Amino acid sequence: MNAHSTKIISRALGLAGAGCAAAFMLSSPMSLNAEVSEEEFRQLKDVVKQLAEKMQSLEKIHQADVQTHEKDLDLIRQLQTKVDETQKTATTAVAKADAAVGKAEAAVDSSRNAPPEIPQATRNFMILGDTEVQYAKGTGHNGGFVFADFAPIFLYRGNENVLFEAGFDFSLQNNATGGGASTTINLSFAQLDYVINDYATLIAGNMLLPLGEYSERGAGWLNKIPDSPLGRDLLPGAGIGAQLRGAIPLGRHGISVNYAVWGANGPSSTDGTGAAGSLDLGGNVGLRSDNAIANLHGNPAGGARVGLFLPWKPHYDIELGVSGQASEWDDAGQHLWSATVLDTSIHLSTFVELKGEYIKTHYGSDDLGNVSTEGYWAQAGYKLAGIGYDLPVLRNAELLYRYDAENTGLGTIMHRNTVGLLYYLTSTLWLEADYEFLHSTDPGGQGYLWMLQLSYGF
Amino acid sequence: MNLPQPSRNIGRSLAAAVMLAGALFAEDAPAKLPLWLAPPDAAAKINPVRSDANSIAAGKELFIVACVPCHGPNGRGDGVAAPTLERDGKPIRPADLGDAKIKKESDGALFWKISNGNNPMPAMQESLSETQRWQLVNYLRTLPAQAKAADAAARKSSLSGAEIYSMYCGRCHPERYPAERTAAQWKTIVLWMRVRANLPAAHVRTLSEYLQASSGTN
Repeated sequence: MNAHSTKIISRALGLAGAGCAAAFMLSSPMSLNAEVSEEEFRQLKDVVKQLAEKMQSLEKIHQADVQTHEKDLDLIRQLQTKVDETQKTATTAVAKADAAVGKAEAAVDSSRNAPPEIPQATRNFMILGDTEVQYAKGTGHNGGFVFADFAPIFLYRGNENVLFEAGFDFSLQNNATGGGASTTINLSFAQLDYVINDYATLIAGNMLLPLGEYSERGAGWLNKIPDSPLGRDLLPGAGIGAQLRGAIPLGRHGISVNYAVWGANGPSSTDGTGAAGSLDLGGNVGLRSDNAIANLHGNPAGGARVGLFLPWKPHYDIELGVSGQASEWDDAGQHLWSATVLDTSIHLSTFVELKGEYIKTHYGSDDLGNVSTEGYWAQAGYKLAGIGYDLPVLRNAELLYRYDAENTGLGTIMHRNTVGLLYYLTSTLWLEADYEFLHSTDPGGQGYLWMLQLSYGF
Repeated sequence: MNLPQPSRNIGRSLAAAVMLAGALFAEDAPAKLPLWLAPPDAAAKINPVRSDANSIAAGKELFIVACVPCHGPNGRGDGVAAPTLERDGKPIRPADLGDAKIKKESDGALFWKISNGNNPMPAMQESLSETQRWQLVNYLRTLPAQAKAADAAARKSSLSGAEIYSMYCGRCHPERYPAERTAAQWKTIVLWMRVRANLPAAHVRTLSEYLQASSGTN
């Protein structure tokens, strides 16, 4: 309530008090007759009447003042709202201005850092790769550091369309067959890649063969279990030859079909004969039985793979592939070797990975007739970060399980269970602990194996 | 042949793995996955600022000033500045902070992201004190969860470089941080992966631009 209203009300109350006093006096005429004349009484009555009229007038003025005051309050409220809105608009404008200034500064910085008149170098050389050290203890062996490996990959980009890639494998193996330690150096692959167009790339050299996807995208550091699955040794990992491959996108959401066709020096015979035990998957060029160096059986192997990659969002995908290769393998060219591989990999979030392959090979021989081999493996991984507990130990760990099996076709059948724990020290430095148990029809090959491996990809 | 039946054994292994995955994800399968990951050591950092009414209120004030222009008042990625944002000359949508995947991130990971930024999101380690950034994390935790419809709409858009990176590279190995390599190195690696990982040419171009733009310098 403001001062003006208070004043009006006090005046009204004063008039009301005076009126009441007069009314009190008028309400007792008998007692006043003795002291007040008729004339005086009329005068007093007029005064009271005037006072009553004045009070009514003041009440009207007060009511008008109250209404005016409420209007003033409404106006003040509206003005306050407008002030708030103006402040909000100003804040937003400042934020927008800051963002615009930031973008402008970034653009200026960008133009300073990479002025258009200085082109980026068209050639580049770099080294990637991985290294591992492994401690193991198995049936019949004392525990020890049994394996150290350094596998650099050299990449040389000649221009936008030409890349040379070569991978080496330097490894030191203790407890090797025959005892002691052995150091080996292998040229895993050395190939020239030439991008012909959006859908085709020509490759030539010692190529990793896409029989399944393991040799290209699962081996070495990428394999979360230190040793390769059973069945992979039924296939050549690489071959010298030429290949045409590419990928074709289907739609805008990442689905694609990929293909590869190749010709390569296929398997050969270690001693030139067609005996089943002499099959050499390594290569067809070498020393003949008459000590001449030659292409041992005259015909290269042909192979192909087709894959379908079906992602439905990042980290949720499935890939299916089918591949095969066939060729003569003995020096006389009497027997064929062939392989068929089905492969798949599935991701169900960043935490769940499933993958596996089924491998089937056939080859003819002088001594055992047709030999069929078979191998398969399935591997599941689950990153414990998926549980949702925010503990570093859990966040960085992955549980693994693999089941793999192989029939060599020469009398030995193996199947194996492996459980593993992979701890990500960093995204590229891994500590792998695995226990596996191998069942085999060969009593010497049966047993358990503990492995602890430190792997680093660079 | 005496070899254990492959279909049965592989089937059992896969079924067990799928059941395990199903059990673990039945409650909350991530609707949209993070494309930008904090290093494990940063993600493991513990929030030293207690999440109480005071810190959340302080975080809200900071959120209004620092985040609302792009992420919007409810963190949906619909701020007034959102339509103007670009990366590599292409429009980019600010993250929906109610995304289930972001909700699952650790306080340390969110703190790291706020601190370091990710073009065009600015790094705030200089503009905000450490305490303020933790307060901001505490407020982010109070934002409502993402609407399914918004997620579905986002998925209809064509793939960004970051999405291709996660989709194609993350299936074989952990994603490397773009700043680990120079632009020239990324160009070489992407050309290599075009061959090795069967990357379609259109994705190669988008991915290469993304990685080069986010690359580090020597």
